[in-house]
Amino acid sequence: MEHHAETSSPKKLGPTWVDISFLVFLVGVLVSVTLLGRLAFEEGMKTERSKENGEAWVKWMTDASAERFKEGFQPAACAGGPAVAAAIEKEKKELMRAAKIAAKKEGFDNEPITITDIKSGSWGECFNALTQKGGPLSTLTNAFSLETLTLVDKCDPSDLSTAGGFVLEKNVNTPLGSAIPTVTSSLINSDSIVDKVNVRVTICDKGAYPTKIAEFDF
Amino acid sequence: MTEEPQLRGSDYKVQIPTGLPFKEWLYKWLLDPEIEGNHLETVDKWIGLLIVGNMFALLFEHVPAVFEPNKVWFHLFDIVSVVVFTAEYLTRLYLAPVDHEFKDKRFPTLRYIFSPFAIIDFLAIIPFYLQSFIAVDLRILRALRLLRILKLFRVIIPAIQDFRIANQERTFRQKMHAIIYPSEYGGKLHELFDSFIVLWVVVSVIAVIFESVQSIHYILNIEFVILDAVAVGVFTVEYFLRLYTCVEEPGFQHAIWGRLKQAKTTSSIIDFLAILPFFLEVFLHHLFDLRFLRVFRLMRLLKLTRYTEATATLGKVIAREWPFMAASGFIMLLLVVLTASLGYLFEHEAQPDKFENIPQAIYWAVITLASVGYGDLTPVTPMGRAMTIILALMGIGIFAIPAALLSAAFSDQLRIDREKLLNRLYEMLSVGKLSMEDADVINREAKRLHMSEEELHRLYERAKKDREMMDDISALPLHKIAAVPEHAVEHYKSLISEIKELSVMTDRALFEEVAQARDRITATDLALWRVILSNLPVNSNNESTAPNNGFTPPQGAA
Repeated sequence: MEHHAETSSPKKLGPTWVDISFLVFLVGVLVSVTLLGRLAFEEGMKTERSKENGEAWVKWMTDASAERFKEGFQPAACAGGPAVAAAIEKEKKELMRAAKIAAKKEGFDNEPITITDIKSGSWGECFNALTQKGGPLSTLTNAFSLETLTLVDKCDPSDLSTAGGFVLEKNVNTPLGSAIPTVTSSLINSDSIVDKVNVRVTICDKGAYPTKIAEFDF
Repeated sequence: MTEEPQLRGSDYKVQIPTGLPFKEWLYKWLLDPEIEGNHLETVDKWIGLLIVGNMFALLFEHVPAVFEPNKVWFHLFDIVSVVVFTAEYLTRLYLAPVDHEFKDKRFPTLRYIFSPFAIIDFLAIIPFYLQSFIAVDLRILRALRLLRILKLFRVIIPAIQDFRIANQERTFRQKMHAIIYPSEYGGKLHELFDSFIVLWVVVSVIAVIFESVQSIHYILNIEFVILDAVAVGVFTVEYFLRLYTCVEEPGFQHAIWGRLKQAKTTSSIIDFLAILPFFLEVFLHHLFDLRFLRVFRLMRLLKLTRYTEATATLGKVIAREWPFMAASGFIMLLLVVLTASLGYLFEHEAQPDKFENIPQAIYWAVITLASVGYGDLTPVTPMGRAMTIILALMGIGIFAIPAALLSAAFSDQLRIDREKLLNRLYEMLSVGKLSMEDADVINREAKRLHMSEEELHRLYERAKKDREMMDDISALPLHKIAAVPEHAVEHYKSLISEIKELSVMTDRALFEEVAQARDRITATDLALWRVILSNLPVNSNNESTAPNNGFTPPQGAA
């Protein structure tokens, strides 16, 4: 460290008007940093609220993960287990019968019939039941847009409108011997939730970057 | 009686006389602020760190995700802290009767108990003991533990008092300058300011590193935001204070140009870059993705270069060795381009996907030359492999050159620094002995160069001996003596005295006989010998002085 001799001879020992001006400026700088810090804090709190939204979803789904396979689970759209599977089978048969009659009437009775309208036991029904008015997770709002919390396909930093949204994905085990143990893909409306599904909940933070909340069996 | 200045190396430890009563010895060894080199500084440092640790523990206790799983560790840390603080309190209490502040007063122990610092120390530990007897609300207990921060005043208040004394006749700006920049007026308060900034640099850099750990960031997101804002506040104030007071530095005196010059210095640019990402992110995050700027907060680590000479030494070494390093770099470049071209020539046909072009071959050449050898690009042709062998062997030598240059230059720089210190010692010793101020300067420099006490004393002895040699003019060459008339006269006197000494020791009669018989000396020289002898007192060995044969010395011979 160098030693520096003082250069200016002291005339007035107390703070001069220049010193006072500087101190005022310094206080201004401190106030500005405090205000900017407050802004950053508020933005951070929005991410915290988004995390709370994600945690609320995780809490509801983990709480329901055991209960939904029992009889009488509400909302029924999220129920699973053998009873639901039987109901789906029945619905499938009914739809198949109706489709065959319709095909016969139209003259396409030799064409193969595919059923796509089965709603029972699907994630889309369950999601609607949870988020529609009066649903257990209907009160959650996006901390950034202050609108109703929406499900997004993925967090996209180039699309800031996804900030505060949340992503639900399912993890599916790959066959033995595969290079990767699981494949993760978006949980779409038609996905069946009759059996246990391994789910990942992610929220999109301030910059629409993903923040993983949890992975669990639903 | 003036005190003898003492030279102290970086490892200086004072030796307390063992014959003292234990209490007095312990006080001098551990707590006496008037004895330099005792353990007071170490005690202050560790107590200070423990206080800071307590503050962080208190903060993290409010984060359930951190506190709940580590409750036991928090409790243990609290117990250890209280044990240390209690030990400190009791030691000070025990040593109060020999403490300079209280020993001359009536009831010194009692006076100590009611002194402000002792009350603070007591308040820092009492809540812990109280909770064992009284059911105290945890929140109140935590609030009371905040009192531990007051213990820092034990260091801060004496530093402020010393600073006020040292800066009595100085302006506001000069005082601020003394706190922020190293100077002879800053004292302990400047050291505390430096420690405060270093602490914030370390804390904020650790925070940036931990922010990248998803699991930690998830838990402490908001704490990191607050910490960053506070760190930026501290660094911004420091930045502007440095700009404002830099005009007190030599070479920066002009109100505008001096400050602009300061703003352009490397350390100021680092200071600026340390705070810039925060402002950019707050203002522009809606327009751009500025997350990458967060990594630049690690630039704060560079702020520490202000507090160490290592980077300055590295800069000096690189600047000095630049021509050699550039030459070595040029050879490396030639070798890389040449071998990459040959590699492309030999391997392109065999592996067109890997050695697709010369830039790809350059990557292979550098990885091979530097002995990294990732193995993603490997030659398969015999010529390519033969060249790889040559390349790998040459790489060992070529890449070692800059490292060897730097290593040699580093030790050379250290030698130069020590020689500078030696020269400074020569200058200081020109007046005969070291003054207290000189000793202070040398001690500071020795501390900077990490010289041990033994090394410093060796250097001092060398300087002293060399200085004495310099004072002995007879050791100087004749033309240097002749250049200074005073030296010439002294030298002449010394020569005459030697002739006289010779005349006393030799047999004068035989001397003259030999000198005259064999015509060994001229008549003038012999006459001069006789004149010198004629002025000698009569002694027992040569009873008579030289015979006066009527010789009259030639004019100017004497």
